[in-house]
Amino acid sequence: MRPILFEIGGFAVESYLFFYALGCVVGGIVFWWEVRRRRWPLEAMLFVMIGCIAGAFVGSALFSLLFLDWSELPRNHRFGELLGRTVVGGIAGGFLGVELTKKIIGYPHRTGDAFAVAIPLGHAVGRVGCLLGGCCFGTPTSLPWAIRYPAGSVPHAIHAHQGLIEPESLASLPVHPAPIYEIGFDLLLFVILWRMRNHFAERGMLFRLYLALYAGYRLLAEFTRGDSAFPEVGLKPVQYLLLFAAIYYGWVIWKQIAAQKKEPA
Amino acid sequence: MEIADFIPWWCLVGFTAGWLAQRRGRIGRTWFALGLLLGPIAIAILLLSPPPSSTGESHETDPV
Repeated sequence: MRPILFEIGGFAVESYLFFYALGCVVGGIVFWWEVRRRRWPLEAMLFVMIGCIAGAFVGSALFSLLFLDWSELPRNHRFGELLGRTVVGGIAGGFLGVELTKKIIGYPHRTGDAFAVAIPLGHAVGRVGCLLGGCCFGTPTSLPWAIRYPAGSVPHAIHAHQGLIEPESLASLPVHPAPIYEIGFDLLLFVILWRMRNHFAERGMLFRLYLALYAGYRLLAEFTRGDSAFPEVGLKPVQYLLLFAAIYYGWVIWKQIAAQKKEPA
Repeated sequence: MEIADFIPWWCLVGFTAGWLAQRRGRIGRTWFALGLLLGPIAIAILLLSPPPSSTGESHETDPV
């Protein structure tokens, strides 16, 4: 863990913010590359990208407030460390931001396909910041690749608050390296979607495939995530949303593939 | 430096983006707005993007 990546002129640069920004830059370059390849109008796409980023910021902060279980956090901890750090909220907010921007500028076509390849790669880069910053940590495990977080980190504070470790302990319990799992999945998703860029006849299907696959992954990954508590009965609130998204977009993709197979070559 | 000190420079970036855009066969007022929103990044994107006539870029809409 390395919450502060480096210092410039006495100004500390947080790992999380650095990789968050780097992820946005990497995602932006892939998006721009795709826009050029598809010969979509550059100006309209830049407005759409700005709407997406603004929506992602707002959505991320709102989802933090809605789905984070604040009672699980110790009172003396910096709550701001977890505010605005939910990617599910970022995707939902970004989606709404894009739709709103398209309405404002009068752009009628679907734009998600260019985002579908950009988001997973940018997301993988951003998750390095999660790993170094100590957020998005996993549930306790005895698996050999488990990682521990040092005293002062959010996982350490939560484990101490829950009575799982002594407050004076040097490290948290061993936990699933959840950000590393997600980096691996995002890179795999990027490769799959990149190879399928020209597969669908209908515009917007690649993005729906991304939503179906990511929602399916996150639904399962939430079982290894320790930064939000499970209720006594059932799933986490966000998992119901992910379950709905995975089923709905999976069904849409299945219908599209079936329709493409029926069409004569 | 205060935020207000940046406003003239930011406007200059917007005007530069608009002027450059017109010289490169793009819509000046649209790029003025993009210059205000993205700052120098808009100028970098503009310089890295060839004129729309040479790429076959579609004109599905004029955003501004």
